[in-house]
Amino acid sequence: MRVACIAIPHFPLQVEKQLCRGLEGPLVIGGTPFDQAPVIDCSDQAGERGVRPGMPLSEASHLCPEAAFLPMREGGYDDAWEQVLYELGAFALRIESAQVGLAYLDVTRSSRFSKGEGRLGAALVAMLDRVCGLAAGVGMGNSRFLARQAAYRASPVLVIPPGTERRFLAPLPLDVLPLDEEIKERLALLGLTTLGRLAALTCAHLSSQFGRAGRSLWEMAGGIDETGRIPKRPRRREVEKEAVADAPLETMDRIEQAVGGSLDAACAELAKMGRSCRKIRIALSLQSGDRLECSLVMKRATDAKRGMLERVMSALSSLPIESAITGFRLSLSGLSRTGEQEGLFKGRPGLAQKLEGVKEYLSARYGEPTLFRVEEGEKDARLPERRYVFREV
Amino acid sequence: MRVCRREGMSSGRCRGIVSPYEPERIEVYAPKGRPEAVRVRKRQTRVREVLNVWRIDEEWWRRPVSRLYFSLELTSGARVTVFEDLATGAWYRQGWV
Repeated sequence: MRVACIAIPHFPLQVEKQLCRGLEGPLVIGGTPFDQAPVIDCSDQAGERGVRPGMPLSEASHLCPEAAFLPMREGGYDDAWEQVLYELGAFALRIESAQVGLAYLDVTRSSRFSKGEGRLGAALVAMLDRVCGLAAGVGMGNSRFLARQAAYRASPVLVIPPGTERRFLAPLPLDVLPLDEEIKERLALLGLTTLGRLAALTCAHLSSQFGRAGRSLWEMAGGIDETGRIPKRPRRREVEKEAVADAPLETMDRIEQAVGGSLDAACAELAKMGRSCRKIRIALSLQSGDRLECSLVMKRATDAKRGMLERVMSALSSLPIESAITGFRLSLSGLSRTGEQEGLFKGRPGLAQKLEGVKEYLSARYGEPTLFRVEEGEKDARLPERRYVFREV
Repeated sequence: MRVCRREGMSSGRCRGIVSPYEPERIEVYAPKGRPEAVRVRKRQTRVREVLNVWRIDEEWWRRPVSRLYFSLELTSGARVTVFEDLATGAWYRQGWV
């Protein structure tokens, strides 16, 4: 298994800088100096003054009084991290999130499509910079541990080819291993300070000293792959919004207003994901205790609120709603990438060239133009076959 | 894009390529003017219900278009939209409405 590790240092700080442009100087994230909460993240300037994530905010303010203290975002940074994981889904099916700012990708197969791991790593870094505005380090190796160590030392990509694991790990200190303090002390007493020294011992020696932990130590120091595979990440297939009315909704105007509000939020989420939806399902809870549900499928995927609202209101008007609505749930599904087809040939000269070849072959074989582009014709034509026209490519 | 060789209403250079919107010639059994059975691709199916009927008349100044559309539910459960070209009396199935 080949693993790519994506390490985004100071993830909360980078997200804050993305959202609030112009943040300069030492920064501490977590709350105000008077809050009884720990530091979530801090800038390098604050770090130079001794501020560390996890320490109380009051202590951080003593160490770096001139720092700007930012409260943590509502809901943390999970949403931003989910967005990053979603974008990473374009590169690998198997993705594991270790923590916010650290993810592993199984790139055993995907590196073949990118003409090498170095290029794949560069593409990952470029995507994170372009789409998310985040600076990341990418490391690749035979195991999660190896890839993570490579990512921490990457600028911005570091590939550890198979067979060179020991050479890469040898100079690293033992602190990089996830060890108990007791084992660390015993190793220090034995004069073992680097992974190279540890790997020079036999597995039997370490097992006799530390039991099962000794074996895993020896394996990690030698860059031996773990057995656990990276699981497949379930893809998000729906955007759901639920609303409970303050007062029962009795008129169509009020229902439209409430549904419009939920669609606003849903469309914003779709836009954030870069997706359009094709199906809408709406479930209504009525004051009488009944539940009504209807589904509608749109002609083409969209992320525009107006069109969706029109369709939903038209569907609702045909439902036998006999009492006021107390709440509803909207589910948008059938998600597809917005503008995927339009951009199919853009920026892909190789594909356009292949298309040209196909066109020449078909023309030579059939002697007349055979490749056409379907374009919108008379949009509001009453005769359906006039709504689209064929244009020669 | 489909390449079809069936008889359709399209003509000219694109006659080999039929858009999903292009009407397809079919046989309809309609003794009283309303479809009772349709034959699509050599398979005959009875009509369970006529769901909707509407008429389109256009372009009286050029080549008149006069169609009587029927939205049908077949005994197989499928829903199809067919129309009678009132100028020629021929029946067509509309791919997509």
